[in-house]
Amino acid sequence: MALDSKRIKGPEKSFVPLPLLVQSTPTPTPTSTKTKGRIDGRGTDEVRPLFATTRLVRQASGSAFVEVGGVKVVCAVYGPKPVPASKVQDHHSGGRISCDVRLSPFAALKRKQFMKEPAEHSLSNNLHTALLPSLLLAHLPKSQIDIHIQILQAQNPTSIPPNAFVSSLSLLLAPCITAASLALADAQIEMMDSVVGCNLGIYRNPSTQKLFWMVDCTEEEIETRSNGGGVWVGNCVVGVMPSIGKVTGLVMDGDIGDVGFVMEAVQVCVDACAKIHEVVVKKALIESAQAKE
Amino acid sequence: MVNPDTFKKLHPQEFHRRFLGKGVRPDGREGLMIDLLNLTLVTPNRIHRNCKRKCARSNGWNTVICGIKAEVAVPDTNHPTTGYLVPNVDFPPICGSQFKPTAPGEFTQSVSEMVYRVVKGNNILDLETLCIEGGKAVWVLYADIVFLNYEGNAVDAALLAFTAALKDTKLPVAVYSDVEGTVRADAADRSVSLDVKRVPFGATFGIFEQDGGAKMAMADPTDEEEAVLISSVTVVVDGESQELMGTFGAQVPIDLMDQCIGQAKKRATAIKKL
Amino acid sequence: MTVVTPGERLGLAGEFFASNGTVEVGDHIYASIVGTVTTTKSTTSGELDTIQVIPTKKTMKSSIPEVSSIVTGKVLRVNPRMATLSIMVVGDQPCADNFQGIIRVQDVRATERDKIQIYNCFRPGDIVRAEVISLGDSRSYYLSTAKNELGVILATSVAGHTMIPISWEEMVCPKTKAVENRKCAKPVAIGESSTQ
Repeated sequence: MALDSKRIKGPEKSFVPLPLLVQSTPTPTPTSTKTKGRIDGRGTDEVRPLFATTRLVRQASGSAFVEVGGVKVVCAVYGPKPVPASKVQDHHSGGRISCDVRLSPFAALKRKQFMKEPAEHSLSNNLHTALLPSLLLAHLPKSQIDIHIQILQAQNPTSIPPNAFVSSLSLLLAPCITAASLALADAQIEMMDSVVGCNLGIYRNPSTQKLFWMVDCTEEEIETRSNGGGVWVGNCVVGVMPSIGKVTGLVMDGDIGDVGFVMEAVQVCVDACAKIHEVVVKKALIESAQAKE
Repeated sequence: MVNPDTFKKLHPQEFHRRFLGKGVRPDGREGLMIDLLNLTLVTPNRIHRNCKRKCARSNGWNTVICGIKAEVAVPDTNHPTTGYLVPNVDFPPICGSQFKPTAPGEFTQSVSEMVYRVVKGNNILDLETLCIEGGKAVWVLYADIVFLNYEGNAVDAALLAFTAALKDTKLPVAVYSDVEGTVRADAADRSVSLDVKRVPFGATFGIFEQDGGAKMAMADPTDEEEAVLISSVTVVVDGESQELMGTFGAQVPIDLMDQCIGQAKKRATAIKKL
Repeated sequence: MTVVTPGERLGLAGEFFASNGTVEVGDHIYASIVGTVTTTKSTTSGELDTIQVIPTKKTMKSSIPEVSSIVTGKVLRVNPRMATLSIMVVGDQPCADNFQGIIRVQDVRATERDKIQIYNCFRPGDIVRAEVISLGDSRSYYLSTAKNELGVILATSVAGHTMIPISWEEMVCPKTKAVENRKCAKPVAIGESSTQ
């Protein structure tokens, strides 16, 4: 790591202590492969409970907080403000948005260094793609909207420590999309529909080679690489405008190889997003609107 | 007609002068008096459980979160039994539009440095207690203080979040193995709390020049007020012993300084009760 | 009062005339912001009723300068061709971030344009009220002060005192009695702003 004179430095290297040799709790891996259901007992199309609220950051035009499982995300929207001189291109074609996603140093098990992780850049780009179609930027000529996301917690503290800093991008992207769209709505930025994100894990049954899916995978489910008797092969994240029924962003990775199955998986995500939108997102917005009155 | 918001934007100096000339602050507070009612402590568990301990604090409208992560490192050869305590303050762009997503600016660095000086100079925590195995392994406590909403008076808020988080921190029992040269600990274990010797509380006062050139102090200035101040002073007081732990600032008349210190002590006592 | 959220279907596209806070996608009208729905009956027969969503929160959107909005800003710098302003207030709403605007020499006043000298109209630090005449170039909005009620509303003299306008093109310092040239706004607004 490059020397950073602008911050207070600690020792050159430090480590998370290794677990004790004698594990006090048995690892969940052997048991969960045997049982048919999911680790936390949810149905395959069931999403985890999601908590969302708005107006957390008073300085911002709009803000939102989303918590799902162990992931906690704060989003603040600033603007509309003038486009910075370096970014000026075609100023008559409406506004632009800029997305910035950052992980707090204490977000994961191992402390993050101050250098930006590649994952943060890729999160920002994917978020930008997913939000852009929903916004009516033609109404905001010559201005820019800044969307800042701070991830307070990226993984559940009780889950198995992964080797990488962030084991899976998709787990963070979905709540980021939901939070950002909620904050934009809170800032009264005009949009066609709020965007809701959802992820889905894809598994292959080792004996029949058939693919099957599970909505809203937890980190544990991906890390153990096995769930409900299947082997993890990939995952997909979808950003959806639920009322209009349009997909705004799709990230998919893994060895899936079946186009028909991909279509099915996306459809499942769309349905899950519609549920989240109806139950959580709309409620949060209406609540904040009524609190204001 | 000009509404107050417009007036404040166009003429901040004049706007504040008119309020302070009558001894009132724009947000309804009284000049030097410190109000503690704006202070809330959010239960740390609700916000975060991932690291050893963390705490969100709000000082007025400031929202600060301090996460303390404990990791293991090889100690400095000159001080083989001393652990590390590394406080860093960060103002991510989320906390205000004046902060840009770049390397920390001068302001961030100075706040960070101020917190570090309080921590370093006052022996808040006996770093010897962070020793796991002399010369081989010690604990490193990374205290990252992140602002989520910034509205002035950064030092007070940062110190408050830092102390609260430090007092809540619990470490696991660590075992050093000579054979492997590694440290092992049960991740779920939270049995050793830190021996926090002193509890620093900051109280910042802004010095404002009134029409006649007379100077007055006001406690806990907001960022809008900070913009029109001629200088400011931060008094750091130990919540346990009421001792003065340090002051930072410049250009303060002696009589005002006395008042500030008195108020800071009162405030420290009151905060401690929370 | 029911609150609608973005994406909520409000009606068919042929049913209403979609106004502020709504968006037409395909055959339907959807809400585009959080707020309450209001429909206004059209006054002329044969026209569609207007539907709009009134925001529940005071929006920042109205603080973006648009053509013909009245803005207030501070003069940053002047040169013989134009004065550059930092727009701080749009209408009666302060902007969160300042926009940049310029008053070109030909837009300072309506008459005797060829005799205008920028330095006799604006100086850096003056607070000026102006009207947006176009979205301008990539950086700045183009502003105009070619109306009686537009121009300098607040200025300080060389000695540092707030000056009083004595004519439409002169201001006097109350302490030193020095007279400086400005393109003054009709001075009604000044009296109000200084008494607050």
